[in-house]
Amino acid sequence: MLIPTNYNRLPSVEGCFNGAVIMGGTVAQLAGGLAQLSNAKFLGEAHYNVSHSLYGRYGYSSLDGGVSSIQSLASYKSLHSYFLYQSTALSERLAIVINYSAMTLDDTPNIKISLRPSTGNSYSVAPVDVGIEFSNDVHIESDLTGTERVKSLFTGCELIDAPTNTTPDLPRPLYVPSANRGELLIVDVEVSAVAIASIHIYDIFEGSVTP
Amino acid sequence: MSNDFTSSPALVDSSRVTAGQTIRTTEVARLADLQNYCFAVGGTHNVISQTFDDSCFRQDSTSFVEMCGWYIPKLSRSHNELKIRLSAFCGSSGAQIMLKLTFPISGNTYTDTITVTDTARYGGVFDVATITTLSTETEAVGLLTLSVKATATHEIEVLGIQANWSPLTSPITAGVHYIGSSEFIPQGATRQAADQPLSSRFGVETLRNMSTLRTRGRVLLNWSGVRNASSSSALNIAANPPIGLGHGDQYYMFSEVALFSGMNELDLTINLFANVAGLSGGQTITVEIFSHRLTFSANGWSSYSLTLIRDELTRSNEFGLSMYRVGVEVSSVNADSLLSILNPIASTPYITGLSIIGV
Repeated sequence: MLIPTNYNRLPSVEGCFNGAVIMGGTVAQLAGGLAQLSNAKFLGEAHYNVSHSLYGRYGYSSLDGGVSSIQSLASYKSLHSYFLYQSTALSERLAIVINYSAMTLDDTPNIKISLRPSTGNSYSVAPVDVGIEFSNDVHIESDLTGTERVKSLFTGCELIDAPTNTTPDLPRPLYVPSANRGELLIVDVEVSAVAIASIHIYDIFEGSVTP
Repeated sequence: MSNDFTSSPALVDSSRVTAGQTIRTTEVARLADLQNYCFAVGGTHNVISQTFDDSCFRQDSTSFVEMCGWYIPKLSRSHNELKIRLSAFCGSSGAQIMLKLTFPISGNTYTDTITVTDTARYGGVFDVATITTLSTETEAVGLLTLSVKATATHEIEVLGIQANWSPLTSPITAGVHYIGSSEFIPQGATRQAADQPLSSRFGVETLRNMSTLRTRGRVLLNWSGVRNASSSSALNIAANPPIGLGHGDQYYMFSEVALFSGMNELDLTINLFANVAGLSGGQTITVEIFSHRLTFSANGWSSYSLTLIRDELTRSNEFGLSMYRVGVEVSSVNADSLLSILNPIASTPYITGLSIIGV
């Protein structure tokens, strides 16, 4: 069925009273309204802000109390960070948006993302999706000092089939195997010369679902 | 009459519910299944998601120090288990993190304390705290605060926090459930089986349940400044996190999220909670968030209900949903009021927590 993407007006309560003539439309509206809830509103999402030291690279805003800009640090070389995501039964594919700042002073900017289960609360269980890679100048916009305002990367929302790659693919959504849907998952992000300002994880909406 | 549901749920075949068709029991059973699923599972994804760069969130006190706070939706009176995962480490054993969930009107509090396991950055495992609330709690939002304490020999560092309510298991307990003060009545599977009359009550309750589920909150943005960070190291090394919203947050502090048209017509609003600090007598702070200009005149948490008045993002085309930028606006008002070298925290009121909960 087609999944409604808005809060449609519901049929009148009186239309469901005893003695009322029930039209097909009434039940169809109930079906559409519930499908909007299960397959649109209640899709999983997570919006991670990454707080960085105010001292940063240059120390300009150290005493300000709030962030002025975000820059990559010299220590960001193959640096892993882990973002926990409580998936749902409908988490088949995950779209990711990353807002970032990248600089070429220390290294070539690069981002790799993989998806891991959280068995035993461990960060290092073998990935269920080896994942993707964003490369400098192809996907990542960088400069020498990283002082440009934040940029955005996006995996897209393609309804991919289960991947079989053993090294990172070009950017695409991450795939959640059926056995892992509904579990707590770990989005493993490895960066070099990139400072992540925020990362947003979404269950991908499917506009048409076969009942 | 068991209130079962399947996960993932089966949708109704729309071709079977058009005029002229006989309504099969399959369709009615799926209508019941769907609403039970939505109540039990809907919204059980992340309600808190925040990470901290290295050496940023640091504490050396050996007594508990409160450092962060987030407003979160309570999914229903029946969802009473909040799981909180913490990525943290301390060089010696004994460092602890205390989570406290407070319901603002009743003042009721629930706490859990965990002892940090890891001794190095993402050393092995994250730690899990569980807060269990009573089903008598009637409020639809709560405030979660985080306090930490170090050991006598080592500082504690927090790298990330994630939290979500645990979904209910099938079948849902019989009887009336509530989201805030709105009723939800789970639907029994047996009554939707063959050769049972489709009651008027089923239709009336389904409509009420849908209206109730539409009010359930979902977190669009949740950020806390880190207060009272402390370290024996200098600020260029450690414990220099953002405490309040800075002028750079015009560019960083936002989410792109789906919002559903019709919410304004149904009086469904977005709830914004802001934690203000640094105001002295007669002062106010004005910021622009989600296309609304908001003025705060008191320290502590304040809230606003916001309607959807801004334009969609072009990224809607890729998501297939109406996507909006929700967060701190890029504006001259914010440039003037948020923390900066011209508005340092020592002499400027600021916002040290921002939670935006949509529907």
